[in-house]
Amino acid sequence: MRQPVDKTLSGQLLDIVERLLVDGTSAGGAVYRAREWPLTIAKLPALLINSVYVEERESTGNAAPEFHTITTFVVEGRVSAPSSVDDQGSSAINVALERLKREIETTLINAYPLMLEIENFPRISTKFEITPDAKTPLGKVEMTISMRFLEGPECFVDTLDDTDPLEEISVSTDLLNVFDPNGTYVDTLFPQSIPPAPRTSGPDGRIEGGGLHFTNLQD
Amino acid sequence: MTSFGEPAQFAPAAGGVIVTSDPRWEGFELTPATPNLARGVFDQGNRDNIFGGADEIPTTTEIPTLGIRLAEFATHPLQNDLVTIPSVATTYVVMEVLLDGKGGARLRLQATAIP
Repeated sequence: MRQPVDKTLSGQLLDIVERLLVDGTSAGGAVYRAREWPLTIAKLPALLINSVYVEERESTGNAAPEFHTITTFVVEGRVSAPSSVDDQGSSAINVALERLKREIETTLINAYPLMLEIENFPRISTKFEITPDAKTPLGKVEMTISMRFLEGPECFVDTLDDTDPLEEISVSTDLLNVFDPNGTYVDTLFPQSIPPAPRTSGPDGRIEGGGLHFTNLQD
Repeated sequence: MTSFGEPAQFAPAAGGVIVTSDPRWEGFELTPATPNLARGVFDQGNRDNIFGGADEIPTTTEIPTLGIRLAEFATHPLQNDLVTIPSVATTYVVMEVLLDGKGGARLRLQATAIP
């Protein structure tokens, strides 16, 4: 996910949402993403993933550009059922919408492929609507789902130079504060940060902890 | 009057006979063997967009209606009556009876799964 691709992180998350809904709901093949044309009753039940989503980024603070991003999108389930006496069609739609809602939430919430990428769902609001003003009663369940995730600087301008990759890391630590007020050590790391002897505060340049060495990082 | 409407077979929810025979009816045959066979102006309705709010993708559908002359009925059709329209081979349920106050009514219909 963190590699530069031709889609924003929000767009990639919606791809995951779409794939999950196709596999996990009874709408199956009738999951429409970025559809603006009208649906007909013959195409129902159908799920619409609204192409219009709202993305809000809030900076984490005065450091490298990093954002708490909240992306809000709408999943809408549409169903229709034959009418019958005493408006049993609307009752059937109510049952179908409840089931569709349950399918959507058990497909998306806590889904591993999504939870890998996001921190949480800050808000999910659901609205049901049934109308009799049709040849057969029509209903829809509209779930407005927000996902929160972190976007770091690596999601934008990629400053890593792939021609000079990071191959190894050595970790050395100057742990004891002024082990030797007067000593001077040769080939110490970061000599510019060591105050001249005699010194009353560290670092003194003596490496107490070392030997952590990570190599072949690109393998 | 022969040009008025088309046959519509009623099945009243309350049972009984709600359609009177009228000597002026011509164009299709009414016999005691087909009780509740009435006539009316059936209209499939324009297919139009509903659920078409500002940000919404519409679903297209029609609102079928049957226009009737109340004088041809012994008692008014009511909600829940079933109406079969032979020309479209569909049985509808009467959702609403909209009286026009001038001796006519427009029945708003919904399609059922009844063949």
